[in-house]
Amino acid sequence: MIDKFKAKFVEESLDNVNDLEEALFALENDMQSKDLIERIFRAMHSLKGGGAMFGFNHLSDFTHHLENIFDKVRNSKIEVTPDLISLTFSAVDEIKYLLEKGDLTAKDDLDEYNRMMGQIQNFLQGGGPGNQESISASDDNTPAGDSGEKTYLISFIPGEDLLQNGTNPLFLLDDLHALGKGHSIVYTHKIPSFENIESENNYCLWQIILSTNESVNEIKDVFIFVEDECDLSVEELGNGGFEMTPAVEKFIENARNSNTLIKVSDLKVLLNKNEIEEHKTEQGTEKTEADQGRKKSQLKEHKISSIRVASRKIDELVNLVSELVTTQAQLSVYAEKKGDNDILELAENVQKLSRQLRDNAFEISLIPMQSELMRFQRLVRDLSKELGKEIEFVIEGGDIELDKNIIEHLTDPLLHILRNSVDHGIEKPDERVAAGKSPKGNIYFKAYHAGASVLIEVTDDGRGIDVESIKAKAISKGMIEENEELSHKEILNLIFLSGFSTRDTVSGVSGRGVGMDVVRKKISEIRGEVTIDSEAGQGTTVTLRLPLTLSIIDGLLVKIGENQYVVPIASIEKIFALDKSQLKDSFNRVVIIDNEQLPYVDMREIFKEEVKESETPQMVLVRHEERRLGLMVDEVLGEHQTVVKPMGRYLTSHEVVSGASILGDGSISLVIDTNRVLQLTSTGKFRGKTKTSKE
Amino acid sequence: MSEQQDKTLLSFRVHDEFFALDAMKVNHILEIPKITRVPNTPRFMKGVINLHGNIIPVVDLRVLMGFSETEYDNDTAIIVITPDDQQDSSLGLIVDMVKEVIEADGIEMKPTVVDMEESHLKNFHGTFSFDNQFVHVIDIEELVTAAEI
Repeated sequence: MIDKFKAKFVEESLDNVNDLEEALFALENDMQSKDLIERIFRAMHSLKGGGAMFGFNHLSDFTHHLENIFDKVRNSKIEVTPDLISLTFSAVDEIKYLLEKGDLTAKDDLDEYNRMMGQIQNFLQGGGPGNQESISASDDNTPAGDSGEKTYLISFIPGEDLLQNGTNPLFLLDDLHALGKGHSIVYTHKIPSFENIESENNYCLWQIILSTNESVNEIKDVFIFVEDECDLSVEELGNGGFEMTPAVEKFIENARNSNTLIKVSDLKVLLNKNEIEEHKTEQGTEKTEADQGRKKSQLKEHKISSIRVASRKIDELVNLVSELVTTQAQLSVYAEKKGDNDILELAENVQKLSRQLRDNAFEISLIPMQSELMRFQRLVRDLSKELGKEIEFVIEGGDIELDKNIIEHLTDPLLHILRNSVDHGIEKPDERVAAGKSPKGNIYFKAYHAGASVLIEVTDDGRGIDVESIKAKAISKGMIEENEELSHKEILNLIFLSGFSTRDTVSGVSGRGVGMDVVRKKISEIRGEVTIDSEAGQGTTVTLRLPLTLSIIDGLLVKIGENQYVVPIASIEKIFALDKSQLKDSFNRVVIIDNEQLPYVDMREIFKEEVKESETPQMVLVRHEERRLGLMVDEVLGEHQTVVKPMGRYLTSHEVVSGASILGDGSISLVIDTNRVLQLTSTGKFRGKTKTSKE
Repeated sequence: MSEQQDKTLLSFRVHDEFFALDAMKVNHILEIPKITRVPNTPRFMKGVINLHGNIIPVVDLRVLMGFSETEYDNDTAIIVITPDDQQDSSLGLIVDMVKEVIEADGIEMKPTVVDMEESHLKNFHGTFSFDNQFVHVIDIEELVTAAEI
């Protein structure tokens, strides 16, 4: 049971860590932003609290100290400096490690932990530049007389269900006492008579008089996890410490006996007989209440805007919707056969609904790339520092959404591509200046939609790829013949061949095993494609083309020979009816339609169908990037919403069929991967040699 | 060669030879349904079938093992195996006749000696004698590798 909660905590904490990193990056650019500092502080606070609750003691302790730093930053006692940000970044790494490991036991780990801890403490004591006085003042807890000390009256009136989420109010009081010197008053008058007691309910309320150097925020943060379950007010009683005098003691005693909460004004009269600033205090109170209201509403909004669901459940949902779509198709077939209007109407409605449901389920399984981008930023930042390079990393289109399975497969290849750019692409500042470039290198990461695909481009303005050296290397490795004529692009494509790596010395950063061949393999596993373009001295662009989703597509059902096939509608531009006489120039495999020359392939020929040719073939014009190609099919049967099912591992390497779909009558139609047909045609791999036109 | 102990085997006939494989890997035995041809695949890959909404490739063991092809008849059957319990590893095998389930416990296994020149399958777990017939035990792992296109 507790393990389950621990796992959940780790999962949520990783979100917090993510948020923390994101805020740190933003802070690096805007060191004055109060909002960001607040966000960082809040993330740390949640980590600390949760860590203690779930037995991550090291984590809790560690973040506690870190939080102290940011508390001082928050109260403008420490300034944000690049040093501080770097320290926090490495601290974030340590936090991740602690989340993964739990409490540390290995000696190496503990050494590293203590080293980090030492750095943080140094920072706390040494402080940022300037302001050392105030730091030391707030660091030791000497009360009374210190200028920063104030006394507050805290009224903590929890609801009856406070205990149900595991909160122990006494711990909260302990936390308060840790902030300064306090005196707490408990009111027990709400406890019902014995037979009416619900043992799981809380009936007590508390008031605490606290003298502390900490701010109101700090006090409220103690209650951060229960603020929805209680009424809380923190009111200022005045400057300076709190002295327990017999008069005050009596006053408190009275309050407890009469079960009426102490009013701040009454206590104030008692404490500061001389100067009563009632007006000011009331203002203060109003302000705190308003503050609190705002905080709560922010939290609530956040709660509603998203929910957390196990990804397994989403997979299940998508599977079920797939089944539904298949069954619905069967229903439609049946209804048409019956010809009964009522059933036809029902079938149509079911079709509409299942289509909507499909789109919805499909959308749910999409997640924005944002979450992964943080890792990329981190990689570029850390690596460029390590290699002594200056790099500006610009991300565009981080809100593009992709199927989560695709994103999972995407991270490693992208990390590798970026590593290549930072390590091999971008030159050192002096080299750049010598080459007439600005000392700072640029890497652009751009994601955008193109038809049914998402394109991701990683561009750097580094030294580019030297085509000649690739060629030389390919020749030396026996991959190509010495006198082979290759275009610029063809040579670049050589680096995708397995066993090819352009750097002879392994730099320890990239070139560590995974080369571009692995990148291509990984990307093609999710039906994506990789291309590379580069000019020596100018830079390199790697482009990934990825499908939006893996499972459900709108398709066009066509007949080729004895089989039915599905062509994804997203890749279709036009459909033509063909007259045999139009194919007169069939030697070149070009058909002229609307005064346009279009290359085409006869799908019957590709599939080696022997069945009698159709008298009225039709042409399906497909497009991929700038390439277009007509696919000649026997007959176009109609539109078909289809669930693409995998064909099992034995057929995954099929050259043009990328999956299968079950039709309404239970028969199977194969899904044609048009991009592959285009590719194979342009490389002349098919028997019918055809060139594709470029526009 | 002879690690075939405590196992339940399913025996079947292909051409005029008898074979067997681990019955625990067998999921279904079917009559021949409609098989959808997948173009541009090796001859042994007969196509795909729809089994309860899943697409399963079907291999003709006659072709895979280098025997001559014949028409399918009433005895012809598809044995669907799932070698590693993953749905995507499911594979249908067309055999001439499914024979019986054999408890291999205590059966004496000898090295297989058959001429398999034309076959994609060359290694067997062994051969045993049952009801005066020699039965060759197929190595599923080799079968699975051979079936990949």
